[in-house]
Amino acid sequence: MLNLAIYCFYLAISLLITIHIGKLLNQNGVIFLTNQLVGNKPLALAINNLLLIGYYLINIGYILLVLNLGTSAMANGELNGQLYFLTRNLGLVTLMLGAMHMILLYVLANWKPDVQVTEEQ
Amino acid sequence: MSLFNSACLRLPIGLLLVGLLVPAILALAAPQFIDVFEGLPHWLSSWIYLALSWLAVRLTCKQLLESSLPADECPNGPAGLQAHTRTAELLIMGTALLSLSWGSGPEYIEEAMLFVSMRLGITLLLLGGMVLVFTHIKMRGLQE
Repeated sequence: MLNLAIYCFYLAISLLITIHIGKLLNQNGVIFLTNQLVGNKPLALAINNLLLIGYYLINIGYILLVLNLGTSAMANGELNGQLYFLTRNLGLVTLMLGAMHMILLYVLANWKPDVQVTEEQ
Repeated sequence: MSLFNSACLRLPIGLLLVGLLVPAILALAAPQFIDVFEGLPHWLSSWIYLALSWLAVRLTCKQLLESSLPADECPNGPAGLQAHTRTAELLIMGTALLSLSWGSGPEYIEEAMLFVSMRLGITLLLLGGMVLVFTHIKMRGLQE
């Protein structure tokens, strides 16, 4: 039963980190995208929203998949194994978040859209 | 709360309720079939997994349809987008159904959690990949 509690703790911490970073990226990304799109804010918001959905799905999927790694270390029920499981899996999740962030930044920095400013803006 | 009252979520929530209520009804109506409950973790985890993946697929499709690029930026318009999301929904749910037969069924609650998490993780990764590919195509369309 302790293993189940560790799984829930891991899921809670990973989801909290993912949601917090997603909110931060969403807030700052829209400014960056509006600049790239020469002030076309509706388009920037739409792309930002799509990127956020993709970010959440990929990261939550990865978090759930990583839950299955390192479970053999917890078979003995010792605290060492549970600590090993938590640190390794949380580390993998934060590395994945960092990698996703860097990839998105790289793609957006090299993206040169051909848009014109509409009259209402 | 309007999200959970949405018509597109009724079927996945109904599926979840069927999966959860059938063992309880069977236990009350026909207690002589108690042997059936040996496979209860497998039954529950399969239904929970199917309901959650369908919920995720439908929510993603809803978000894609509602918060996609403005209509004048999309060459095919909303009809084309709807057709693509329906195709993706069918493909992902087909994979979800196939993945139920991988490996042996869980016998304990811990195994059931791992059973659901692995399969749901794969489904969400597929969905996320679909959204990012869709975004990439739209962004390429805007490029010089």
